[in-house]
Amino acid sequence: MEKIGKRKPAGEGSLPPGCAAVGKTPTDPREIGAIRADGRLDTVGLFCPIPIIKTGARMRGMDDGQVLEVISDDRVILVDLPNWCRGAGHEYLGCFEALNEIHLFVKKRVRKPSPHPGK
Amino acid sequence: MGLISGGLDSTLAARVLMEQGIEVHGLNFSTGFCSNDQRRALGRADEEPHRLRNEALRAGADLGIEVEIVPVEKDYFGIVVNPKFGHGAHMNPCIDCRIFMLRKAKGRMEEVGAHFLFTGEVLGQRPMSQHLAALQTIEKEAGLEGLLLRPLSAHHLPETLPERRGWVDRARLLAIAGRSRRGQLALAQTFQIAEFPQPSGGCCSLTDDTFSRRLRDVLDHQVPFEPGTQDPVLLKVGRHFRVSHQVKVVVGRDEAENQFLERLRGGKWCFEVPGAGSPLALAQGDPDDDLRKLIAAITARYSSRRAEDSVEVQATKDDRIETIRVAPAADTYLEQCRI
Repeated sequence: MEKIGKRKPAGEGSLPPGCAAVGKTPTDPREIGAIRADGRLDTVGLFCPIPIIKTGARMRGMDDGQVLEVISDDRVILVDLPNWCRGAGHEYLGCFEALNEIHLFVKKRVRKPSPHPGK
Repeated sequence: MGLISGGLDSTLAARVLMEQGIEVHGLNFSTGFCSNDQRRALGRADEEPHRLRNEALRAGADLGIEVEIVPVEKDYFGIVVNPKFGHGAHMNPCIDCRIFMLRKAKGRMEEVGAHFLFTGEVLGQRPMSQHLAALQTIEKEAGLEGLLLRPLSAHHLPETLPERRGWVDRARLLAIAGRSRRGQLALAQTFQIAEFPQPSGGCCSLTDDTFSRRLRDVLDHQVPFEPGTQDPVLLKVGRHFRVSHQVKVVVGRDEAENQFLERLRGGKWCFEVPGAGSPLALAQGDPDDDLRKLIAAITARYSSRRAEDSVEVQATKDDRIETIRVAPAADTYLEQCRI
């Protein structure tokens, strides 16, 4: 399901707390907003875990290296999506917020299952 | 493949197997009765996201394993209404719940080609579903006799197929049993697992007294109820009053609850006291003139004008507006019809 949500152009959003891209200093929302997404999933109006379930389903149909943009108005996704990515082996790229909607970016990684525990 | 709730026991069970080099895949079922999910749906602006996080996903992140969340709300509701093995102290169908999840997990196990299932169940820990007879019943009813491994209590239970086949080293499994958490806490320290929710079972709304009473009221009065929607969330919101066999009232207790009820007002009678601190009261069912006066009185009772003899209440339904002047309802009446 996709719908075009109201969205400010990249660069006019802000980085809410917890939105930092992994490994990057969150100084410029335009850096996040400039990410080119290969697909977009609008989950506005849905509460976690539904956005995570839909993200998982959508990612299964994508290729390694492709980027999915997930749009949500449930702030808990700022915690749940990065956690899901860590467990599933995908790369959480970061997010920005515009017009009370959070745009999060995930890159698909095909991770070889690790037999050993680790973070 | 294992059931991962995010609690300490399922996390430890996964980790025990991972220590043996076993590839673990987590499953978590979204039943529609998770307290955290319901609090999240209420959408309180002041709730810190960290406090409402999904613990199963957090555990998956900490373990480095994927936890697949599977929505099962509609199917699950069937066992809530009519569990073969009965309800616990409230509306919790713990044994049927466990069987339900394991049957689903068995199907998923076969789909992905996993070799066996595991859970974090501990013998003797939970009164309804974790004594020996219950564990055996669960395994049999789920079609998993001999195939279900409980790593934390393995030495108290018969050897399973994964152990006999050498997929799992039984000697490295555990002998934890009973209600004490000492064994689990010591193991958590060994594995350096510092983050986990407090164990209590209070994450399931069906173990909550008030929620269960309200759900029973819904079922007894054939109120339309659809799992996986806002319907279960509504049972956590506000004060509930049954004013007739066909009509129930939900009264918001604060701004967040009023806003939640506001989203549901379409096609329903709503009541509030204009120009005052007022709850939003939402009627389920179609109240006649007399019942609307009663509901107005209830609304007035919870407004900032509760001490006045006569209060003006506005009742609206779509484009109909009525003004009803009433005395606030007496507490004695409220106690009779409160759910």
